[in-house]
Amino acid sequence: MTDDDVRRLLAAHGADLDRWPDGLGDAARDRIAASPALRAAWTREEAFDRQLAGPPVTVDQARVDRLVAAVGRAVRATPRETFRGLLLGRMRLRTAGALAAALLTLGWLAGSRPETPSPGGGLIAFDPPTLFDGTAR
Amino acid sequence: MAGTACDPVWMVMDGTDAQDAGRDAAAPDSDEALMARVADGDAAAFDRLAARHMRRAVALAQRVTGNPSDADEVVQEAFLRVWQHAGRWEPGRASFTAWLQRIVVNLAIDRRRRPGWQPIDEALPDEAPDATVLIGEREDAARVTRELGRLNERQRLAVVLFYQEGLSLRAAAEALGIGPTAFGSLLARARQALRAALLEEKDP
Repeated sequence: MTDDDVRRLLAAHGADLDRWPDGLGDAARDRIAASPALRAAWTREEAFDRQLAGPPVTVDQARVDRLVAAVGRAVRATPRETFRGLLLGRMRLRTAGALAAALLTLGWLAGSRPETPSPGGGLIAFDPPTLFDGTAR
Repeated sequence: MAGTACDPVWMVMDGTDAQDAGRDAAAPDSDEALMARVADGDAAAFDRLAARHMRRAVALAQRVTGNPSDADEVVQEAFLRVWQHAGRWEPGRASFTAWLQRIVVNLAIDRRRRPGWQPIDEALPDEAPDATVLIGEREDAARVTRELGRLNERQRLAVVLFYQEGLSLRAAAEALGIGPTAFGSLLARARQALRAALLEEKDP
């Protein structure tokens, strides 16, 4: 890194070498310490950094507390559209679980119910009294 | 030599840096743990998260909007979105702080774009030790604010996030939704443009 590189980097990234990208500041630090001209350039950039930073924004604790309270109230009044909420609405989790268990049991019972043969063998034995062309059998 | 220009008040919050407070992801009160509870509808976890991050969010919103009342509205809307969309946050992709900053920045930009938006000049602290120093600082700040307002939006935001809010290069880049290298270039161009404008204003 040459002195010109350091000047260019100072102009681009400012005087805070720790905030330069890719650790470039570490390489520049020794050169700045060794060169009065670079130290002068660094001092100019430090003043410019201060100018850019401007005065701090003061946010007092009362304002923070008021806003925290306001958002706390707002979220409690705002329903959340979670997947569970969309699926179950305002139903309590225990009720929803009981309902799901009941539906599962019903499904299992319906599936395991033995099939009762219909009298006459069902559809296969169905003998329509009228044929499709309208003639009586 | 390091840590010079920025004095971001939001870095200190009840003696704790908000970023530090939420850094240990395994801790039960980490940002990650609280967000998991918020995603499950835990309002108390939301309160803790809001208390932890409110000061810096307000400061950021105020820097971008230039107006305290707009800033208050922006942060309230931002935290409401955190509550509503907590399930969308992916801890592996961005820290909660970066996610919140991005929401705040986007809402604050929208606010500035509204017709009739007016910034209010930032007031300097009243307790300056010397009237001459105060006047000089006020004039400098006014010139920087004026020239900052003439930059394009992305350049202005780069200066606000990096120099005024003291965000790291990576965090500021995340807040703008660009890569660190692109952010570095944007910032360098903004700095160059501001320097030229301020010099020109001083010596027309």
